Amino acid sequence: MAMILKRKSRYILVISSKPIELGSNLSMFFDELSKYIGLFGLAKLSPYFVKKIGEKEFIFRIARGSEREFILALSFVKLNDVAFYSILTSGTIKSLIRKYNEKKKN
Amino acid sequence: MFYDIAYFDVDKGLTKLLGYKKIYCIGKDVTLNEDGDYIIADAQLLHRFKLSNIIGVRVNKVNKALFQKIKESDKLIIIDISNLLSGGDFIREYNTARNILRNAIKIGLRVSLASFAKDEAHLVSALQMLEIAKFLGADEDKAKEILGNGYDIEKKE
Repeated sequence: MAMILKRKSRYILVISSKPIELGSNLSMFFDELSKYIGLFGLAKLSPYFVKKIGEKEFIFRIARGSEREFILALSFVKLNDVAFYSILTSGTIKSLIRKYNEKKKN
Repeated sequence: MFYDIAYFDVDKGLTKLLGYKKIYCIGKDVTLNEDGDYIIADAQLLHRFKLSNIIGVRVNKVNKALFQKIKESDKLIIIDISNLLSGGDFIREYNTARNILRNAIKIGLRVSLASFAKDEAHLVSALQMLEIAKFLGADEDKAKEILGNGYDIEKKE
């Protein structure tokens, strides 16, 4: 019987144009996202809100190989006139935060 | 190094964070359909300005005769994706932008994409802009070239 391998993930750092409480607006956020990628796309991407690391900085986890679709779809998502910018992608949260701190310094 | 154009002055820190080398501000770095040293002209208003001062031509529909004229003048064609980003008639805006890009590349024009953002809610990061270029039909290398077309201001200076 074929084994279903564990799904590998990627982490994406997203910045909002204004401070927003994403935790309480998640279903709206995913509804907006699915407008562009559809329900199948959403299932394939399996986006998961990991945590907020700043006033406007958020980390999302998505299925590896679907980064591009997520980044593209995010370009069109607006929530209460707040836009979301995909800044960095990485395989681990630790390296994502490290890369972000380096980017902020430069 | 990637570039964009906006209607407002984007903070330097945000510009870097978004992955751009420079986001040109209309009214400060460049003018739009107004006399100046670095003019971005709408296609139908091209004749109003001195050709040497025009750094790019903003285009929002396919006009092959005009594209040929732009090619002869060696000007950059700037595809305005603000309507696509604002989420109005998404599919129509997508097809228009895609057709402009396809025809411009076919003719051999130097192409650039710009958000022409009115505020921060209409900006996108360079990473997103690259994906938009690919979404419009450009391959990886072409997408990078499109975003790297810096409106020649540095060269002129």
